[in-house]
Amino acid sequence: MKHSLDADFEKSYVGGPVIRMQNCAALTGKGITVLFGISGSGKTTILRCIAGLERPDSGHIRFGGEVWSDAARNVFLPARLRSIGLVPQEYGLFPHLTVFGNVSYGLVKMIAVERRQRVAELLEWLGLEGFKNRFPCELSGGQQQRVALARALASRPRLLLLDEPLSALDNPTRVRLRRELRGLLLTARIPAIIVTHDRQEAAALGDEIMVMHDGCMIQHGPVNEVFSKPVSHGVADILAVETILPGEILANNDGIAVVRVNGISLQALAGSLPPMTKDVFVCIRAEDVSLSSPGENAASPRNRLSAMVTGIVREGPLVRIGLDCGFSLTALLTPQASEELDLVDGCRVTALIKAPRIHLIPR
Amino acid sequence: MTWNPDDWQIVGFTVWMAVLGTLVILPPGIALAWLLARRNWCGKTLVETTVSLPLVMPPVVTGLVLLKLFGRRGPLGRWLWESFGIEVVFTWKAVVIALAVMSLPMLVRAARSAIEDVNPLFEQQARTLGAGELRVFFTITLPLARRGVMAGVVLAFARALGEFGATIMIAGNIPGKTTTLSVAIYNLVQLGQDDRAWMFAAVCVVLAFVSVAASERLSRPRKS
Amino acid sequence: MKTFVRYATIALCLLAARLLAAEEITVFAAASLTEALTEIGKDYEKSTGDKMRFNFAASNMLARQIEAGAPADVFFSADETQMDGLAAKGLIVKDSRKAVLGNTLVIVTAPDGPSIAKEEDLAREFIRRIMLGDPKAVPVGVYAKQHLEALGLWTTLQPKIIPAESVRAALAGVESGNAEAGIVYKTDAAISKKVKIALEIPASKGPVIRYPVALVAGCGHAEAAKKFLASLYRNEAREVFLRRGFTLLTSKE
Repeated sequence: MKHSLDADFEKSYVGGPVIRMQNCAALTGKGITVLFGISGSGKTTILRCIAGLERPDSGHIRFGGEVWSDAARNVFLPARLRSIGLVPQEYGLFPHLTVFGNVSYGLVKMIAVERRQRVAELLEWLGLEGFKNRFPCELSGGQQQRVALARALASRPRLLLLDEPLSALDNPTRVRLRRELRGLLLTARIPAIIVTHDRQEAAALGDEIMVMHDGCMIQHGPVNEVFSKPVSHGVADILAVETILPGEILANNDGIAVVRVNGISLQALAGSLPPMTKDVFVCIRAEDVSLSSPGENAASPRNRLSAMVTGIVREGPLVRIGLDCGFSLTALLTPQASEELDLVDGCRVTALIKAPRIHLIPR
Repeated sequence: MTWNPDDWQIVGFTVWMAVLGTLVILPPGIALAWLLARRNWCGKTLVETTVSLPLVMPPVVTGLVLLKLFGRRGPLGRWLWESFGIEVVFTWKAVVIALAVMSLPMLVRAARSAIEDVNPLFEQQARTLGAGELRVFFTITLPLARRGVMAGVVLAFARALGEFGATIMIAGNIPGKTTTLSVAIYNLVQLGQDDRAWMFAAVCVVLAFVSVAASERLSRPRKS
Repeated sequence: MKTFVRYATIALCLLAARLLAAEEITVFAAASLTEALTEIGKDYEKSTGDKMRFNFAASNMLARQIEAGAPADVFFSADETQMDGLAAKGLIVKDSRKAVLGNTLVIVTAPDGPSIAKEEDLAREFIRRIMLGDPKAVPVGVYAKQHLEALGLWTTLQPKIIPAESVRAALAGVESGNAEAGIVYKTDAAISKKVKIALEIPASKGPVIRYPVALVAGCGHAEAAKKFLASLYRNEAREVFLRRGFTLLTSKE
């Protein structure tokens, strides 16, 4: 329990929403927790409360048994006593100090020799040798991020907090650093909370995810679980599940439900739906839709829908296909696959969706 | 029309008094600027207004207030005389006080503006790295506000150089002891020695020019 | 309507004539004459209908203002030097110049202040500061310096001297307690309740004090000003001056 964060607090601003973090006994291990939500959902506020830069209006925050804030007992441990490392959104590197000055800022308690050693160690580990005497304005975005990380890690904090660590970078750098960052954080073996609004980032970086909406935490759990089983329409929306449609359950046999969406019947797993549910939302991710030329019948997916292509858009290394099969559907294919099927606007295809990949949420 | 050694004394005295006056207001002025920029408290508006008063009131009114405070029979004057044997009115100490009070608002306003321009996120970041308030102030806030603060200091100094109304009220015009440049000019005109008055006026203009130019230079952003 | 306009015009003309007929006389006078001349001025206004405007300040400052073109009709100085200065520049009507009044110097202290038996007492320890009009130009200061020099005390006392802008500023300095002693005119000491006369310097021992008055050359209201000047030598005015403590230098005209 040395690294467990126990937080249950509220914070609001005049004229703004109440931001609430409930019953979060997260970080029982040394993993990475992602705080996920759209801009304005209160993620940064929560981070700042955990960091000790804001004082919650009510509730408490405890870390590793130490009380950091307890509104009822009027206890508040200021940021400088909390042994945390913060990497803010724009990195917040002190512009008037060199890289060395920045990284060593939190190391006043060390003697000069030790300090130099520790900084050299960190810079080498992060691939920044030789940058010791540069100023932040002379560094690229990626380099600044690593300096900010080095600075946060220098004094061996008990908890790392990162606010949108990759949002200030250009796309290619972002993709590259996404991989690197997770590796770095796991090697550092310090529990981390990362705030992001990018679901690819969340999926790539996190072990656990907490989804925020309108100031409240509405779902948390392991990343894969939360992504594939959003607990409500709101969460599904936030996680950008591409197809969310209202439907009606017609029958429920042995855990397989028959759902009608816009007059079309689909088979899906009833899963953990409460019995006697009739009205649901049907969630289908674009990654889970396969396409084949019309007419082919010998494939396993239970749901075969005749569809017409309404639009083709290149999206990074993949192609996003808009379809109309009685309702609006999106599929994600490789460019190769798209070429092999000779997909053009207006042509007919068959959309295949595996029953277990259709997720139902009560309405 | 010649320049006497006595005349150099007046210039030197004026500059030295302006330096002392500026040094005296430096710590309280910057501290006050920080409090106004970074903290809110009950009565803040009152303090803000009081500090700005010498800027807006006629200097002789400020001088009058100081005279009442530091005169032999005034509250501060009597206390200083009875406890320490220190006389203020009609001495160089009165000059320093007059200059300090009149230039304080310039320093506070400029420094406050400069500190407000420092992104508070830097200060917060420093706190997460373990720095206490004093360390944050001296290592982050002040260095980042340096240019504006310096410009304020120079402006305060320039103001002190030219101060007249309050000075003549509490320090009078005692040759060799409390005569500053502006007081000397006033006096020379009264004596009908306009030529010499113009000589001193020229020195004033040069000093003012140099000070304001320095202040402008300092507040211009560094070209990166 | 026509009738109304006609009568209105006549009324306006009469008013203008009345206003034009009443002259305004501007007198620049030494600070020490404030009370005396204000009183005389009021009486004069009542009897002649002319308006009096006074500007009281140290004589040297007034002289500078007149030199710079200030619109004075009459200049009443506390010493001859300032008047000489203006005469040399042709700024006064020479024929009109006359030394009218005399005065006495006194040493004043706070009512509970130390007693001063002779001028030499000023050199003692308990007198730390002495307020004088600026001895470089303000008449009362010039007179005081003259006197102290004659007694051989000037060099000793110089470190204690605080020069003031005018005789009234010197008086105020002693009244406020910021100086232990001051040298002013007897007439000034008389108007203040906050000082006492510690020592009077009799005319026989002290410097010669003469207050000249003259018409300013090229002034705007010469005739009216001349009339006012003449009134200063009459009994009513002389009586006021005497009552206030001035001595009279000119004989009745």
